[in-house]
Amino acid sequence: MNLFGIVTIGSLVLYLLVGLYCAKSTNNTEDFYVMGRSCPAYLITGTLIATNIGSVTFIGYVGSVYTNGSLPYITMFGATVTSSLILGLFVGRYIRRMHLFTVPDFFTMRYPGNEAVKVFSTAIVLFTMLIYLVAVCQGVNVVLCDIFGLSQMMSQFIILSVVTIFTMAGGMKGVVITDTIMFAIFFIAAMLVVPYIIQALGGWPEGVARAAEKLPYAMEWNGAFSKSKGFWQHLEVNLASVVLAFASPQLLSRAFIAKSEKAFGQAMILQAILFPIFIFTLLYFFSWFPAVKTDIAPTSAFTWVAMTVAPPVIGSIAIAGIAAAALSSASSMFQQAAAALSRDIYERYINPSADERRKLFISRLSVLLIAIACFIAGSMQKITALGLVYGFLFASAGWAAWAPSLLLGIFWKRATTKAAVWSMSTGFISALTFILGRTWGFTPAWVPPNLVGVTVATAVFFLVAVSDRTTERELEVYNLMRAPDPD
Amino acid sequence: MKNAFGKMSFLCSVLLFVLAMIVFVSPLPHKTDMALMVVWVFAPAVVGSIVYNRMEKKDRWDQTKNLP
Repeated sequence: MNLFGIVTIGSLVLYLLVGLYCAKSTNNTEDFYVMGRSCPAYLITGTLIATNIGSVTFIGYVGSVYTNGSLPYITMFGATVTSSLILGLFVGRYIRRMHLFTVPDFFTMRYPGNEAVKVFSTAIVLFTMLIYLVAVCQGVNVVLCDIFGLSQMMSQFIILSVVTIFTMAGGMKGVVITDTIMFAIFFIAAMLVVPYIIQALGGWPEGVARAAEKLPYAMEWNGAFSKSKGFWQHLEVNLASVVLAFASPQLLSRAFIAKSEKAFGQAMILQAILFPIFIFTLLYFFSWFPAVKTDIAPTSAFTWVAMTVAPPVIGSIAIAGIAAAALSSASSMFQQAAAALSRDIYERYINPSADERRKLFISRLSVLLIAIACFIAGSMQKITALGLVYGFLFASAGWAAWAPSLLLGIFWKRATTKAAVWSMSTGFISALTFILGRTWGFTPAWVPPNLVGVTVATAVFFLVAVSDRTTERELEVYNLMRAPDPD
Repeated sequence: MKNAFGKMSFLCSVLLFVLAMIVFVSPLPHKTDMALMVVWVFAPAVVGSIVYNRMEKKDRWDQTKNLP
């Protein structure tokens, strides 16, 4: 086995050991779902960035900036850090005060008395997490299939086995700590690899200036797109990032685990500092890469640099970094999907009187079931950069449907259960229609499905809420969120 | 408990913003598009740390519950 294999396998073993170690302090469902609500700021930052950065970034986005220039893609991370800061400084405190375990818990508590809200929010979590998981796992397949010569089935099996074991064992604590280690690995990987691209260009700043003359589109706001397509691209990816930050279960759930509201706020500030360093360094310099080499597949740009341009030691850390990025996103989604199965379905509908031991067992079993479902679904797809990006957009369109109910439920006293039901269902149906319409050509390709989903869901929410009356229970929950935690 | 987190994060974010302008924008022949992008991605941390610091000064984080 070569150095690339040794370092990657070594990192996988490290994650397994950390997950198994975390199992020692995972004794009940509060530990398993929300890490006993004791997570410090630096771990929240690590897990948030690690969850946000997946194989989509190293494979899909690096491939896309190679082809189209960097600005139409870097733009989305401005929306990510801005939305995260708003979440950390102004919104997270209200969510944390509700002492939630899962995102469907929010809808169940804030919009009481309607079964449809619970069922719908649980279905969205399961559905979107599975789709996103398949896209994420496809990304890491690129690494294992191309580099180690494994079959797609075998690489899927290895990835899912590692993630399943440490998520089953360590629960949220296992996910958060391994995420932070993975963040450190892929952050270092990007920082180490990029100087070799600069060197191949002819050095900084002269080489970059020459590349800019050669590839003028690479640093224009619309990249290689036409001006109108560039505009819609900016709008779509920025909106997708806002929806992702405010409404995706894997990121929103980090407000539940924070040890305090202040720790959550600090985590978001740290994220706003560290995230741009990573993303700018990676995508900016890879957009110059066509000035060095043009005859490689865009999705293989990062792995090609790691394996042929950088020295083997640095290249092997870079390859382990791609695997880390993919695994960190996958583990968070596993955790959320499994929580939806065990808490929102088993505990709520099948066996509400189950004891703590049984609930913990079912939570761990749910992780395994999600892994099997993901393995079956993932074995059916072929890898393309566009496929990975569409997987991300598809999942974010689902979250767009519930984003207005979530935010208006926190800040608007008149938010009602009836408004949430109508908003979520119409938002989801319209987003889904435009996703399918874009694929099969019956709706304009330039219309972003998540924009349609958010607009319809917001409009319907307002219309229904103003014509409806809030119940005493709804007001009670609203006031509970506004009251500080008794210390 | 108050600490210097807000001030430290403000200093780091300003320093990073300046460095980003030097590294990513200065070598380019046409700088406007990239300069705007650097502002869009790096400036939120500067603004966020100012807001955090003001909240700290006005005791807006006092409602925090610190779990054992």
